[in-house]
Amino acid sequence: MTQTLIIAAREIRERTFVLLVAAFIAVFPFLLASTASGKRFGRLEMIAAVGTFGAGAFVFAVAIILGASIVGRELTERRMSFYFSRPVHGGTIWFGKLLGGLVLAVVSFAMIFVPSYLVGREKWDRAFSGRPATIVGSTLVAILLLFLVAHAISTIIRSRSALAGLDLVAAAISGGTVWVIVASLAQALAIDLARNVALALLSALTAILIGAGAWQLSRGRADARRNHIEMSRFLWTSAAIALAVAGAYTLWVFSAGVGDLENPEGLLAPTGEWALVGGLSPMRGDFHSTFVTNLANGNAVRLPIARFAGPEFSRSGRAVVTEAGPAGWRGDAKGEVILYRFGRDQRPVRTGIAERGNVVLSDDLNRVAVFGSTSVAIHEVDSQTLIASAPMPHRRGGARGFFVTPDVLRLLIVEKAAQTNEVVAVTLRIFELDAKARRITQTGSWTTTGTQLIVHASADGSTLLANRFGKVEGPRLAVLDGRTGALRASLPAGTGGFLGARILSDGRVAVMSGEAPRLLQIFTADGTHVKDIPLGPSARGRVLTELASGKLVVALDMTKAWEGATSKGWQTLVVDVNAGSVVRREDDIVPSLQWWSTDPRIDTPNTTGEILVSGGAGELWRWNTVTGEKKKLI
Amino acid sequence: MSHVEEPVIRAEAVTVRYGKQLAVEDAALTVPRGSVYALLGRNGAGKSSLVRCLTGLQKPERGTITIFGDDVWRHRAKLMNRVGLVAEDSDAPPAMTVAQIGEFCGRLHARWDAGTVEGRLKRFAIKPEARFGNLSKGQKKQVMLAMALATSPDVLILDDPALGLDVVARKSLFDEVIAELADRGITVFITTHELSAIESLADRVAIMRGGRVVLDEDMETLKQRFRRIRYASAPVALEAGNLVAASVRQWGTGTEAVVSNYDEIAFERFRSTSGIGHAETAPMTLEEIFIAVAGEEGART
Repeated sequence: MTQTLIIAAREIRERTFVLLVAAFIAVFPFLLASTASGKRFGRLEMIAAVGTFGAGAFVFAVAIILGASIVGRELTERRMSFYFSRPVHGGTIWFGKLLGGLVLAVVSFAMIFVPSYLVGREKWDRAFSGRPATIVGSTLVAILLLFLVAHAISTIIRSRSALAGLDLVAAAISGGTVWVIVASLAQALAIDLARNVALALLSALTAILIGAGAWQLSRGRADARRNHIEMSRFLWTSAAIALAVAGAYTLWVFSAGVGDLENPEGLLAPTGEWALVGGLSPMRGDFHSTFVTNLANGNAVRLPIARFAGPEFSRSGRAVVTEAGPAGWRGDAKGEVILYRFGRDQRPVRTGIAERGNVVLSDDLNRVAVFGSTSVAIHEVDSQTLIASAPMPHRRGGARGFFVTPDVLRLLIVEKAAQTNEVVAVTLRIFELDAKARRITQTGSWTTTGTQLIVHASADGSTLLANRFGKVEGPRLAVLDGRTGALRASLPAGTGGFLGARILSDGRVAVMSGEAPRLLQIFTADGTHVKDIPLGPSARGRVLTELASGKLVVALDMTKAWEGATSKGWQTLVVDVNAGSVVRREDDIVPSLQWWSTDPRIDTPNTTGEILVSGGAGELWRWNTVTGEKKKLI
Repeated sequence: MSHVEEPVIRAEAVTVRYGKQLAVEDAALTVPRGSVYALLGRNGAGKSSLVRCLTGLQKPERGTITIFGDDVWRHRAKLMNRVGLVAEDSDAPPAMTVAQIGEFCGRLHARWDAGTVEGRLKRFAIKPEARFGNLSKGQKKQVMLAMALATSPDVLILDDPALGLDVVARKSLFDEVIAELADRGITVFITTHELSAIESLADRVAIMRGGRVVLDEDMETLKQRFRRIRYASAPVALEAGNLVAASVRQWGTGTEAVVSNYDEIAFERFRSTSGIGHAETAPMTLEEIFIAVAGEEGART
């Protein structure tokens, strides 16, 4: 250690002119601030800004120059033997020189930055968006990296060896590998994990470059060419190991199985035979895996999709379709729509449809509609052809829709008069895209007011239930014609949440009242109030599903009602609509729920009586709403 | 049972290659303790490559080198406490003053004798405040020599130390410095082209030619076995007397031969059987031996 300090001190002493230049530059922001432009810009802001930028620019240049020369120059001028004639190790020489160079750069930075910061700190926020500690920390890291990279490049260039070509190839391969690793995680929308892996690789690179410097002087000693060879050997071997570890880790992340899921979420297909299961896994950060699981045999198939790719079951529950993956770094589409038709496809099919947007599947499972931001398109999966497309009729609204027939796609577009949280005019526009005629036609519309308008459709799409929110006058719920939007009935009721109302399979409408105590209100299709079924004291609730037996499964948010309770805060109820009573209550389960679907139609009634719920210590259960039996799925 | 003293430096089968070019081939030498050992060779013979290997600056492609029994590549840092080195190129940073160089080296060497530096610099008339980069080539050598001597070395390795020295300084180097070290029993390993100067000081000599050590023996033995023979007739086969010719050339109307295994009985046998008549022999200087061994045509040694 002492020898390291002795060598560092020598380096600093030899280059004290760097500190003199830094002292001169430190005065510059104050001189500039005293000029007329300084007064115009603001004296303190100018001192803070010029001081910080000046300090950064100067020390970056110092780091590069010192990194490129502190060892490399002595090697090329054949002066390294001066050190190797002394009883010091090659590593000691490297660390001494590294320390000396870094001390010079850091002290120079402090000499310029500190006075300007102390004087201009009151106006810091006006000059910079980042905190001073962040900027200082980033600068110090950059100094270290620039020094090390400049040293490595200098060692390669100064040896004047043809081996530099191999370094270039190795650098390109390493850079490409880093890109593949980080980009694959980022495109799976594991953003935190991608950032952490990138930081880990950056740290590894720093450590490798430091180690490479020590290795090259220990093994290459006073010979420039040998230094290059030894540095490259250490650098690329270590880089290969680091990248292999990072690559293996990334593969391991992507290999997460169903059994690895932590606090999994799930959704049961209407048939009850298949389930979509997904979630995060331990040690894999925010990487999200999604699987289609066959509940009959437990087999799980991974969907090669990014998080939030919105997988949805088809209406029949016999297929799953997902959106195209996230955009690439430059905004170009990288992913594609994935389709998995159970019993028909061996594995999830990459459809080649790269358009981004919400997707729906036709009932024959062979056509996919993509609701993009500027266009709507219908693709045929098996022939991989674009059947029809049209510009999106109204770009300001969000589009949902469904296939009326495989040739006719109906679009429901809710368009607000202004993008605001205030109550404004809201129009539901209904279009149909005819794949045969290749023509899009508006078939109807309905205008109302509100902050939001949520629309659900009956199972056959012939009836719409419009639920508007905000401080509006008049009934909040309206029953509309599914094609023309013509008002059929207004319901004197309102809900507290987007999922608080549902058209039942027999045409009636179930509404969870918007205020406590919670009631389940039943209306006929023409808006006649039939009955109220008391549910409990909760302030919010959701209608989850309708069972084939005519019962409804609903969930109540009991967080406020159960003040101080240790439960997860949800109560799940099975309500016999015809009898007007609650037949089952469960406190310690949280129903899994697809709260948003591109297809606005309600599911066909659940024939198995089972739904997926979360409970226990992050487990996913199949819950039989009839018997109350729970079976652990994961 | 006799005790064989371990040599200070031992090199065995050392090979150095730069790309396809062979600089040192299968070189072997031993430097006895307390000796002045001169490694001679023409420019490009491989001396500096071998010295770099001897001082642990370079790893030979093949072979082993030990100093005081320790592998010099692996234990260089430790060995440098006992080895003083003056490299071929004066290598101190040019911005440092002579005093700073002394201060820096003094902090790193355990057996540093600041008085030695001071005394040597005074004798060389070099000012401590002078920047190393501003010194002449010879002065730089003198500074580095002063630094090497200040480490109180057990062995001093000098790679062409007279290079750039003026006549006076050169004489001082050989007559005072090396002679003094030899008197003190410090082992000196030197490469030089100053053959006349080293001739009286060296105990042992090695000659390199084309990357190979073609000769390594005591100075006394070397000078005994090399003789110049002159006779009036045309060249005849020296093998008649079992003499080995290092070189044979025309000398006036007669012949001059250098033999590398001279002894009087063999010479008399040669003279009597070859019929050359009168022949005279003369001892050779180190320089003459060197030319015969390492010259253009080379020689059988």
